[in-house]
Amino acid sequence: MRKTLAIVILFLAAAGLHAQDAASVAMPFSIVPRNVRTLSTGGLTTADAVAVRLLGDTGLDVNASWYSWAPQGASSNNINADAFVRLSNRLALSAQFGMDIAPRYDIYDAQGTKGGFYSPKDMLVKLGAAYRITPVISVGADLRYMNSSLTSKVSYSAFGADVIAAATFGGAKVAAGVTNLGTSVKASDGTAFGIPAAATLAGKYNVSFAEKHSVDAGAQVDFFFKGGLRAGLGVEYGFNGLVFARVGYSLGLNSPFPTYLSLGLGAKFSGISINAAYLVGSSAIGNTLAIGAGYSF
Amino acid sequence: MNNRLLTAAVLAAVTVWGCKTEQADLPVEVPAEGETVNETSLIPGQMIIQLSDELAGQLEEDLAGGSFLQTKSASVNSVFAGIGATSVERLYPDAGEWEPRHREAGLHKWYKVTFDPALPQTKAVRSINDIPGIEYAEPVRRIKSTAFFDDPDLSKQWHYTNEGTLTAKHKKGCDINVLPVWENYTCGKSDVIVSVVDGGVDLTHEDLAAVCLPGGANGSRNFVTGSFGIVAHSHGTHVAGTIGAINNNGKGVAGIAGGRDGQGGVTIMSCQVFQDNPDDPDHDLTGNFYDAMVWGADHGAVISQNSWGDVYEKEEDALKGGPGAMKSAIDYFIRYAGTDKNGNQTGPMKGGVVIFAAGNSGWSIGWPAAYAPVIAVGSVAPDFTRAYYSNYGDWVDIAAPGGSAYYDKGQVYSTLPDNKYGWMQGTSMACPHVSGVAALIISHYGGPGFTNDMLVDRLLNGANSNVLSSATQIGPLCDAYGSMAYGSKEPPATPKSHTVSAHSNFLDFSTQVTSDPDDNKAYGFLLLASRNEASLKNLDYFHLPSDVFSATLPVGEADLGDTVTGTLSGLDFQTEYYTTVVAYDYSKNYSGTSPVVKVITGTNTPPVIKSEYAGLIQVKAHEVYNLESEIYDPDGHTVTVKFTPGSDAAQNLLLPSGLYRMTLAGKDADAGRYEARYDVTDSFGASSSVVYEYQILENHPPVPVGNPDDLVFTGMAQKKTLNMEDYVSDPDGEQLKYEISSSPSGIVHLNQVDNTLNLTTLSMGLAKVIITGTDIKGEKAVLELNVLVRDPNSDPDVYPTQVNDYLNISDGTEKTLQISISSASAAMLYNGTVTCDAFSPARIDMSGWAPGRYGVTVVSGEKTFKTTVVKI
Repeated sequence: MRKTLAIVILFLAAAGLHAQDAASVAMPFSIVPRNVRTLSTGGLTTADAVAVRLLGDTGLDVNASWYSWAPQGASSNNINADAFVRLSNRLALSAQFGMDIAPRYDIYDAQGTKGGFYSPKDMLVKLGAAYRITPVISVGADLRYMNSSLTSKVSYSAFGADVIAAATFGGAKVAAGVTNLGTSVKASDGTAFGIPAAATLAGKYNVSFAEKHSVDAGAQVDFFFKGGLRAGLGVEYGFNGLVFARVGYSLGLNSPFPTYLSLGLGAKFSGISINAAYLVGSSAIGNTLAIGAGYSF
Repeated sequence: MNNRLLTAAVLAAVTVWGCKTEQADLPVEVPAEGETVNETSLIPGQMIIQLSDELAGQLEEDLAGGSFLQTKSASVNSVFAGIGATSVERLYPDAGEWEPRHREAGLHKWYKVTFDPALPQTKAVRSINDIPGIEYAEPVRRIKSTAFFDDPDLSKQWHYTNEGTLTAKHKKGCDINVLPVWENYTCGKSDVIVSVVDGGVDLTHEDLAAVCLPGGANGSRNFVTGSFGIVAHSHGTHVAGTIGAINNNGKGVAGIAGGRDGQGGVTIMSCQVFQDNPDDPDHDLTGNFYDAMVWGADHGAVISQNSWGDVYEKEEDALKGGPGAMKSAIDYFIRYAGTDKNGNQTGPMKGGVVIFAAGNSGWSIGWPAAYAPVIAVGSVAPDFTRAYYSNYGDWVDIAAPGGSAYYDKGQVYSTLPDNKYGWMQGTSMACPHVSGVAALIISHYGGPGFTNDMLVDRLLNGANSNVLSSATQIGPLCDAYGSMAYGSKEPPATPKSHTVSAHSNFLDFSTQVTSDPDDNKAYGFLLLASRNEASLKNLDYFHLPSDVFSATLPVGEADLGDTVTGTLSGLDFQTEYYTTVVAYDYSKNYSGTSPVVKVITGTNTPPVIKSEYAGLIQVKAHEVYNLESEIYDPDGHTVTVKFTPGSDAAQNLLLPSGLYRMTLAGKDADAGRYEARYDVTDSFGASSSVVYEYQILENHPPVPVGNPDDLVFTGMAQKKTLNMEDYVSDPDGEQLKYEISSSPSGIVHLNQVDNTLNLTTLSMGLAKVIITGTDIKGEKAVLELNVLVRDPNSDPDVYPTQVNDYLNISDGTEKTLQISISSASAAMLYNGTVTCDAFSPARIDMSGWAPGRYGVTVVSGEKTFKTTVVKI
């Protein structure tokens, strides 16, 4: 089993490194983590999928956040919200919303003549559900809608779906599946560009010790079907369930998702949490700051 | 001392002239031996001389000394004494500031000498001939003004003498032919009184005052107010001016019978029956017409001039009308004018004439003009046609120029109140022409025994029946000269001699104007030639034999004794002819023949074609070449010119100067060699030809010049001037037609002045200026010039921001830029170094990039610029 898994990982890694240009991926904003805690731990979105969370013990988790995203690159102000609801021991639902508002740009034509300005916007809406097949195995699926408004006359939309299967073994959880299987968008010249579909594999482990200390560690690998690979690694340390420190690293190899180092802090009291994240990386993503708040029990 | 010397010199010169038997070589205008000169054309006692520099200087000193009778030249003194010289003065007096130039031109050497008028000029001139230092001498000829009188507006009065030159519509001879009467008969006498029954004549007018009877018991009278106060009226003043405006007074117009010497001619009596109505300007106040006409008869007038008529609503009504009570006044005037209470003649004519305007309704009737005893006057326009308004019919006795406003300067020009002058039209204006001619006839023929019947006979029967179409129905055209000459019985004197010379088949005659016992001088000459001398004997001048060729030579304004010349054409070449001349008067009374002179006609010389053609003419496609040819017949025959162009490029044009211009327009034919040809044939078949070979050269289209630098401006309102020939030129040296445009608009303003392009920056940006040069054949060359208007301190240019394929990045000048581009997910998609310059931006191919939002960061030196672009 381990041997087979290794072969698959190597195959997918080779495929990812033999990548197409990451610029050919449409709707890349759809893979940006919309939860501050996830962002600050290396962007392990699969490890936080609804199917994985169904295997945990959280009943309700709602969050809202604001990002100053990539202030030195394709900057935007991202407004995010997400929710997880456990309806029963076997069934849970999730929802996610993101709106990225970019600064306005001056419109110049092909001769360099100025002709007005426009503020582009990207939007993501995702709805998900998970079902616990056995006490240790669950499956989940998300449907997502993406829209990118680029000019006063040009906007693009696409639909995608995620399918994740998860299992838990003691303190560990593993998940695998595919993300962003969906439609493509056509550019003005008629060329079709696909959204960032990928095969994903993640693992997560939680351990508590000395009564007041806890550590959550996870890892994730995404193999983009059009080429490129992303790997993420994140750790969260919790003290007495009140404060948290997080660190993560995301490695993008010809990937539509960048490489960066994430740092995060959080506090939680009576189910209410406040979280912050700060990203260090290339000029494209460096100095990204995220602040969020949530409630869970 | 000097005076004595001069006198001696003049006397010596006279003596020498008396001994000479040959004509001197000096260019002195004197007749040859045996040649006669009509000295009536010379001013007695005057001559003009030109002196040598030396003699001029001497004479100038003598004159400055106070006397010319004693000069430093003994010969001069002698001659001046011999001719009785009374004065010597410079022909061109000292001109002050212009004197140096006058001297440079030699004008100071010309003098006018006044001498004894009894001495024949020719003799005086000959006596001057031999004086050393006199380079030229000539008698002073009389100078005749082109206008008979010095009245400045006489040239406008075509109705007196119509040369057909006032406008293109004026036709020569459509006038009353009064000039020969002024020359040969009379200009009017004051004892002839014309009663102007009309609006009041301006008795104070500068051109009328001296000939108008003042208001009074024996003069003018106002029948509107019943007083002697005449109130000037434009109509009456205009009419009076035509009859009697004073001639040769240097003012205004001439009158038909206005005298000769500036003192006036016939007398005008104003019998005012119209007066301006201040309450109704369209309807004059009127007076007693009957009494007004009778007043003229009782107070010396022999001509009653009436430019008015009865008013009818319709022609049908007028046809039923008649003279009415006016008949009694008309009859009275005709019967009693010019006589005393006993019926004895007291004036220049016994009985009167009543002259009426026919009327301006365009009808076939008009009253009282149609009353038979009246002389009814119709109106002609300046081209022998009936004026559009004139009444007509067989009751109209005579026509005269009344003018037409439909012709430029086609109305009658005469006096108006307040020393003014102006144009008017109507039978009202024609009528005084007849009154004026009648006044001239009375002035010449009037006196004891001359009656109104004699006047009417001469006036109407002397009129010209040949020039107006019978369809005009306004009678013959009034002819002052014809009326004067009417009834002449005496032929002019027979010419004593004539000279004749031949060129080609022409004979040039010259003879002298002979006298006429009753017409002053001959009216013209018949020039006659025949191969058979016998055919010139016993000629019936009204039916010349078929072998006698003839031409008429009108004397015109030539004076008695003047030499006139004429030509007889249409003869055979190289043939012996016998010639003679016959004088005739206006009544076609013919004199005898002059002595027959034999002459032989010449040969027919072919036409001549002259030009500056010197071989093949080469014309570029854009060029126009003109070659002028002088084409004439040396014999004076008319020629027919045929032009064969050879191609569409050649055209022929006859210029006003008489030259033929061949124009070669290179644009109108394909390149190649052609021949143009003139074939000229005279009226007798002699011909000449010439061929002009020409070549239209190949056209070369315009070309852009080199690879000009694009233009960079650092701000708005900056200007630059370009010579477009530096950008697009023509290999043939043609001046191209330039068109300019720019795209996009709004960045530069372009203004074209000939070949100069003035460029002004309007806003920041990059524009393309397109200069198109087009040649005469429509061939074009286009040159595009990039114009960048950019603030050097501005951020780097990243465009378009809505990318289809390529993203351009530049920073104005040649630079190396660090470029990084990241996706919305912050993935770094491009990170590299590029170079650019003002017109060659760095280009990043984004054609394979997915639609979406991208962040672009440009680092240029110390500057970092970040912006967002979208791929669409």
